[in-house]
Amino acid sequence: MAEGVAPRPALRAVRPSAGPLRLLRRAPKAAAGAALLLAVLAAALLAPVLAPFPVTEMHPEARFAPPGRPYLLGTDFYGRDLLSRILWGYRTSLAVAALAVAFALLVGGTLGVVAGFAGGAVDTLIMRVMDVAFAFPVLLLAITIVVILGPGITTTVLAIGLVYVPIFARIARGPTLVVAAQAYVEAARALGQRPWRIVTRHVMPNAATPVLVQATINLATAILFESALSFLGLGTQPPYPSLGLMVSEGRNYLEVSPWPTLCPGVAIVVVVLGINLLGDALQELLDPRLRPTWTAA
Amino acid sequence: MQRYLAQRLLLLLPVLLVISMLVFGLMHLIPGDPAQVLLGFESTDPAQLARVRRDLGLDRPVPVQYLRWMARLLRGDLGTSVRTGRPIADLVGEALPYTLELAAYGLVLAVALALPLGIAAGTTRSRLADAAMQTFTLLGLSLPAFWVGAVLILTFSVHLRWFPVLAYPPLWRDPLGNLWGFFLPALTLAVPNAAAIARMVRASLVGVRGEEYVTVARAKGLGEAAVVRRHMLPNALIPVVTLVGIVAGYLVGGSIVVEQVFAIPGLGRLGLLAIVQRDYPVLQAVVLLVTGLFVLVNLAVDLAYVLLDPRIRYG
Amino acid sequence: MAVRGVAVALATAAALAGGAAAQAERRGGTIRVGITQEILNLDPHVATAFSSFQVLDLVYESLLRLNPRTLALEPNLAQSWSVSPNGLEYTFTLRRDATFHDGSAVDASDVKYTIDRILNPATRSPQASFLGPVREVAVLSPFVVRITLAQPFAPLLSVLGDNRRSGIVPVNFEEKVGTPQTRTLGSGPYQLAEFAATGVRLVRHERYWRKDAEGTRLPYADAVVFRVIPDPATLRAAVRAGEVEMIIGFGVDVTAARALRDVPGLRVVSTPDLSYSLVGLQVERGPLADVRVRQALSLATDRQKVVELVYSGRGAVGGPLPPTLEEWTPLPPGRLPHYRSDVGRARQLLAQAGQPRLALRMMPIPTVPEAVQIAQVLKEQWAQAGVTVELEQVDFATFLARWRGSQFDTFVSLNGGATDPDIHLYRHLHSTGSTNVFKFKDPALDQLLDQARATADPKRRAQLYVQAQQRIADQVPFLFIAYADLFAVLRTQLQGFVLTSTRSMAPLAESWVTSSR
Repeated sequence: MAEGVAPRPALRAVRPSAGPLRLLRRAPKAAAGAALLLAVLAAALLAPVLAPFPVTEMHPEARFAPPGRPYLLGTDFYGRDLLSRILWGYRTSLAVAALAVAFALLVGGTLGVVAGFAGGAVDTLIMRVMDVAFAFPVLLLAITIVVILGPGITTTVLAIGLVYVPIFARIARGPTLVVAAQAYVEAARALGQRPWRIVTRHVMPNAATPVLVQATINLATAILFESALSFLGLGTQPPYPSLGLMVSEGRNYLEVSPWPTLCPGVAIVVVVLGINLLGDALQELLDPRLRPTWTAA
Repeated sequence: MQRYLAQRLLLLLPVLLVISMLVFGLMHLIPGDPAQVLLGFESTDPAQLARVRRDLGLDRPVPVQYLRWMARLLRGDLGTSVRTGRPIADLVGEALPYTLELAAYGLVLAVALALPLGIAAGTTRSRLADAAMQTFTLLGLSLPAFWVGAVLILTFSVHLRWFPVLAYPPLWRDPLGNLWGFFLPALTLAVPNAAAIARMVRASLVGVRGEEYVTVARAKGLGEAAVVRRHMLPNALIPVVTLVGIVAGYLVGGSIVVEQVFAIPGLGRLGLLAIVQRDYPVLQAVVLLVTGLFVLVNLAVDLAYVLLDPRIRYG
Repeated sequence: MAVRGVAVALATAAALAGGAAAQAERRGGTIRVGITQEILNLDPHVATAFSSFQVLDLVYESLLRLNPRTLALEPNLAQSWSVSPNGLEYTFTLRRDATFHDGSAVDASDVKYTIDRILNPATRSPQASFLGPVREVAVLSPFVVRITLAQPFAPLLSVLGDNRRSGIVPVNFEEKVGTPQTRTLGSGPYQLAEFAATGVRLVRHERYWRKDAEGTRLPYADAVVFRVIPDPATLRAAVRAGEVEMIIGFGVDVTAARALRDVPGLRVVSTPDLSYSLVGLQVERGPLADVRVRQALSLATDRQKVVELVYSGRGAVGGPLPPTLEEWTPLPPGRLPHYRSDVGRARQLLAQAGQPRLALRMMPIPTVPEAVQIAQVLKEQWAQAGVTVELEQVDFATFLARWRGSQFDTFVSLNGGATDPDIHLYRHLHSTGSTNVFKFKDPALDQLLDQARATADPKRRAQLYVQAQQRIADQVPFLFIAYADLFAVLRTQLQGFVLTSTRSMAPLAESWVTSSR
């Protein structure tokens, strides 16, 4: 099968079987990021098992307790255990972020590929619509969607996802255009090969890189976006915790006790940092120009 | 060049048109309406509600309402706010300076913070320094704005008393007081954007480092600083300018969160209140204005490319 | 500036003469108040938002007023009044020295105009129902006015004593003012100078009639500024940094009080509130139509625990009437039917009603932070009785729409209270009540309420209301939860302010700012 000039980038450069120690030395960022993320994922998945207390259980005699026994990270306004709520909060926040980005990737990516591949009027139409969507003030759009559909996890996912769609459309369209213009693609089309196959075999591998990088960036911002919505009272609904909601609720009592807002805040920083580190490493991996000169490729 | 400019400006109109239709449509999907909010909790009398609806023109079908609004707009009349009874032009006129200043100030601070950081990170030989600066910028990208704002207020306004909590005198009346008072909110806005720009600067610099003209310049015997300044930076700056342009656009969109925390009555806050109170006319006006500004800023950025890179020309 | 100069000169002279120098020093300065909600409507007969009331308290006055400390009705614009034996005629004699902000005198024709305006359907005043029984207002002489009722109406004096309901405006008010929503013309101690998005600025009415005990004309402060600060944390920061002299309202709760209690330069004041938290119930249809289910919910609610958890103990469990109005509440709330928490009995009742596993939605009002907290506590409590609660947080306008259309299972909210039991209860609980969104219809209660409002004799009224309270607690149209304490945080420079249960700002007219900034 003619691969043509399709750049299959340095995905071959670092093989999984390279051995973890070597990986650590050669790509400290990826390692650090992956470590953080894995820890967070484990916490989120194992929350039902790891959480020492039920998430909504109130202990009024111990409200605003500082970290100690038995509340390892302290308690909040109602006397609920912060550690348990953070563990469950990871579940919510990660789920919302992942689903929102997945939604945007699928919908936006599809739109971008269709636009790039079909060209002509279809391309113009889709991209003009994306332009309009891009120009719309982001938070206002999300708030409007939330208000229409009523607050809740599904709505939050949809609101954030819809806002991200134009970004992925743009990102996916670029490489698609490049590939679509290639001679072998024209040949394949002429030969009657079905567009779907062309897309999967040629377009997607090339678009994968920037899309993936964008996805990691947006994963991080989605978590912050959700926390901003929660700050405005339009994110996840109490009593089920999301990290953003916890930071927002705790902020009111900052003078009484910093823990209810500090701990989930740090939790957000940890997961976002992890995602960003990994995303950065991915970016460097896939675009050799970005690697600093001392790590000779 | 003039033609290009004219073309772009003309494109503005259909974009705004579509957006206005979109907002109008969206607003009417939201449960509850201005009449409800106006009546508040005092009465559940359905006849009264109907009367208020009629007075506000809400009983007409949505397309008719839209056309009436459009007609007024074309005459230059932005309408009256439902919930305050004041002319929207006044409301927007009051809010716009706050948002514009906050956006500009935030942008300046962001660039001022990002350039040195990004250049240092992009040109350093020390692995440790690079890693440290990268972690620093990533941290900046990971903090929620309302948290940063609250911490800044508590630390610098309440405990240290270095900055006022809420002092936003107009720029022409008290320039120093204005710059001082806007500093903390602008900083809150600047932090994540500075981090993003710094990363881009670093990435760009690292990207051009290996280019031929850099090697040539070094071979010519030019000092490192001069190499950076004369050869690396100008080329590296183009993607940075793109990013700065995008950032400017977003900042102009009005940062609702920062305005809320710092009690700044800007466009973001106006838009939020309009949604919450179902003040349709105000929301329309705010969204149109913000979108228009965003597109204009993009245009300005595109024009800036011409200045930066003589190879770029718009025919 | 000039006023300050004159005041200082006067003070010096008076000090030399050994006169009331202290009072003169009080004049001057600006009192800045931090509030969380935007001020939207300043029309004294239409505005119903608390943010509006704060301004109305200082700009408009009514015939009578509530004493800030005792909550008793006392003369204000009306110097004296008399009621005919049959309770149908109220004659008011006005004081002669009150003036509006434009200099014109306040006289009987203004009173007539005011009441006519309220009753005029074109004004769309929510206060019209409170003046429903008024048949005629007659000007007997320039300063004497008589109000004739179609039937006896006991709450009339309370309505006329509330400047948030019956603020007196001059004849042809609407023409003089143009847009009552954004412009004012009253007789109160302050008048409107600026109205912007950041807040409202009021300046002194130089010919205001009220004087203090030493004969100095009030108000002391040159200006009062209401600054809108939507974020409660920033609100607290502002008062700590000395950028406002007082914070009051929704952003100032028991937690703010705790946080700021020990800060030097600040003073925390509190008083019991007349407002109460409640859980509204959908009485017309669905599982809550069965009174046993509603009683079960009342039994499943441990109100004292709610007060402890949400209000940190700073509040009182309340029945239908505020516990601070002792003359109307001889019974402690624990003695009211279904008020003592009893989960076992709740389960029994639910089983009897065929609802052992009841599922309900609960909608807390978004503008009151305690509402969602109460909802979370109740969710846990009701779970013990087998009731599953799903919290639904909606935004304000959606809440209003559902509240008005009675599209809810349950909701948590805060209702304003009043010193007169009729004003406090009637419109929520009478089957024809204007805010009876619960769709509660009980002929027995209707009769009690109608009788009580028409009875002039206070003792007989009290008896009727005792019966009414018991009936309300038994039939549970909605759950009264608690009357929390009200808080305000003041800087020590602000003196003379009395916090009242109505959150009235009127005492600011008698407050002053000492210059030790």
